[in-house]
Amino acid sequence: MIDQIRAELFKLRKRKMTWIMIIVLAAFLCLIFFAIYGITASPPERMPHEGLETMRNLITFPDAFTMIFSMAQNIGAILLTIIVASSVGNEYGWGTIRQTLIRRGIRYQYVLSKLVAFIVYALIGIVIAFIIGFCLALLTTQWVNGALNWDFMTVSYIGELFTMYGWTFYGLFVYILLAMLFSIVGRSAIVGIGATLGYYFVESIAISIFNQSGGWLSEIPNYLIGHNISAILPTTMMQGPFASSGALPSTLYASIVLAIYCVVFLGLSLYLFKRRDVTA
Amino acid sequence: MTTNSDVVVRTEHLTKHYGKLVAVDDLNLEVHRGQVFGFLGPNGAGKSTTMSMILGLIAPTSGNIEIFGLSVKSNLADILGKIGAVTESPGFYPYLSGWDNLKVFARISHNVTDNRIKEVLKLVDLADRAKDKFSGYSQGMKQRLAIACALLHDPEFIIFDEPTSGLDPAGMKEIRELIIRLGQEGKTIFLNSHLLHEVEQVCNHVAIIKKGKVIAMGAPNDLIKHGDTLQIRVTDIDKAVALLNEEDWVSSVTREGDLLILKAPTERAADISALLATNGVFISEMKAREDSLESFFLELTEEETVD
Repeated sequence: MIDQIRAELFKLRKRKMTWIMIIVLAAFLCLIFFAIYGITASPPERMPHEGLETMRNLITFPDAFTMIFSMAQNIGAILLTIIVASSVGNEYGWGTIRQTLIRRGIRYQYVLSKLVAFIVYALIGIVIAFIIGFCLALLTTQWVNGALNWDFMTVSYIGELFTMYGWTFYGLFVYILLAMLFSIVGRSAIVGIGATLGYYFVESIAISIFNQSGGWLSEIPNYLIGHNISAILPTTMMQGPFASSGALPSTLYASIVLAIYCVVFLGLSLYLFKRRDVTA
Repeated sequence: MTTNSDVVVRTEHLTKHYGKLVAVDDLNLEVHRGQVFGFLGPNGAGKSTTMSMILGLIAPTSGNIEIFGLSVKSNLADILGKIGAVTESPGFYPYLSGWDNLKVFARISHNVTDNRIKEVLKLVDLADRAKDKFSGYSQGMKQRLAIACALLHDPEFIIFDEPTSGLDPAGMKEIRELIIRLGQEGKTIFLNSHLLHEVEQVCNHVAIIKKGKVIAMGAPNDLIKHGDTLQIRVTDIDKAVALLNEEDWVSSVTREGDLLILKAPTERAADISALLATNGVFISEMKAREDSLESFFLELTEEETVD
C-alpha cells in the first residue's frame, strides 16, 4: 500500500497540471489581494465607510488569515476537483487502470492510495496558499497600515490558525471524495469534473433559494454540503461567490453531516470500484 | 501424464454473460507449464474477456479459474505477482517518459530495481528512448514498452493480448522472436491472437474459440493433420461435385474458382480418379493440399457460420 501511495504521489508530482493548479491558486490570491487593495486605496465615492473598513481588514493582519483560508477552501475546491477527477478519470481513458490492476489486483488499495495522495496534495496546497497569502498580507498590511503589528500573534491565536487549517482541509476533503465518486461512476475525467462542479454551483444556488423560502424548505440547506462547509469555515465576507447565506448550523452539527457525506462517498466509491468489471 | 503442479491455468465451466449476450460459454481450458499456448478466435469470440477474467479485471458469471493451483477469486494479489500481461492497446501515462512509466509500475510491483528497469528496456530495444515522453512514442515503441512493463517483475506466466496489433512487419517479427525466446527460457506464454500464421509460428499448443466456446484444442500439427485435403481440376465441375458428394468417404467438396477442394483421405486419390473417369469426368490436375492452421481455423469457424 505504501508503494502504491508513493507511485500515486510520483504521478501527481510529475504531472504539469498539478503545478498549474498551484500557480492558478497563487494567481487568484494575488488578484484578490491586489484588487481589494486597489479598491481601498482609491475607493468609489459612494462606498460606505464601514464597507471600506471591512475590506481593509480583509487584507491586513490578523483578519487576512481568515480570508486566506477561506479563499484556499473556495478556490481550492474547484482546483482540487479538476485534479482529482482528471487523475481518477483519465486512468480509464489512458487504460492505465488495467495496467495497474493487473499488478496488484487489490482494488480498495488502488482507491485508497489515490485518496491518500490527494489528501497530501490538498494539505500541501493549503500550506502553499497560506505562505503566498501571508506574503501578500505582509505587503498589503504595510501599505494599508504603514507598519506591522504582531501583538495578536499569541500562542492561542497560532492554535486557532491550526484549527482553521484543519477545517479548511475538512471542507476540501468532502469535494475530493465527491469528485472521486463521480469519476469512478462515469469512468471519465469529464464526468467527474462536470458533475462535481455542477453539483457545487447548483447546490449553492439552491441553498440561496431555500434560505429565502419559509417552512420546511428553509431546513433543507442544513443537510447540504456547501451550507455545512460554510458553517465550519472561518467567517469572512470573502467566502467566495457561492458561500451560503442564512443561519448556519453549529460546527459540531456541520462536521457530523459532512462526516456522513464522506463515509457515503468513500463507501460508494469502494463498492462500485470493487464490483465493476474493468474493460478496455 | 500431467500433475497439478504442471498446470499453470485451469478454467472450469467459465462463463460470462453480459445481459443476454454470452461472451464466454462454459469454457474449460488447461495451460501447462512451459507451453506457448495460442488462444485463437475471430473478433468477438471471447478471447479478451477470457484473458480479462484470468487477470481478475472481469468477474466471471460462473465457473472457476485457477492459476498455479490458486483460485483467482480468493488469491488474486498473490497470483498477479507471478503474471505479466501485455494488453491490447496498452495503457501508459502520456505525460511521463518511458522510464518514469516503468518506474510507476515498478513501484507497485514487488522487488523491482532500477537495474531491472534498465535490463527490460534494453531487452525490448528502448534504452535509447527511455527518457522520451510516452506520448511521442510510435505504436511499435508503445507495444515494446508494454512488453518491458510485463517483464519487470520477471513473471513465470506471461499473457499477450494481440501483441503485434498495429505493428509493421519488422516490428511483428521482433515481437514474435521475443515471444519464442521467452518460451525457450521456460516461461509459460498465453497468446491471444487472431493472426493465425503468428500463432502457427510461435505456439506449441492452441485452442480455437468461437462464440465463447472452445471448438478445437491441441498441438498445431495435430490439428492440421485433422483433415486430408485434395485439390483437383476436372472437365465437368458440376458433375464431379454431384458424384463426389455421394461418396461417404468424401467429407466435403467445395469450389475455389475452377478448382475443387476435397476433404478425403489422400490415399483414395486413385479411387477418386477412377470414379470420375468411369462417369466421363476427367481430371487434368490433382494434388494434395498442404493444410495450415489458417485453413483449419477457417474451416471450423466458417462451417459453424453456415450452420
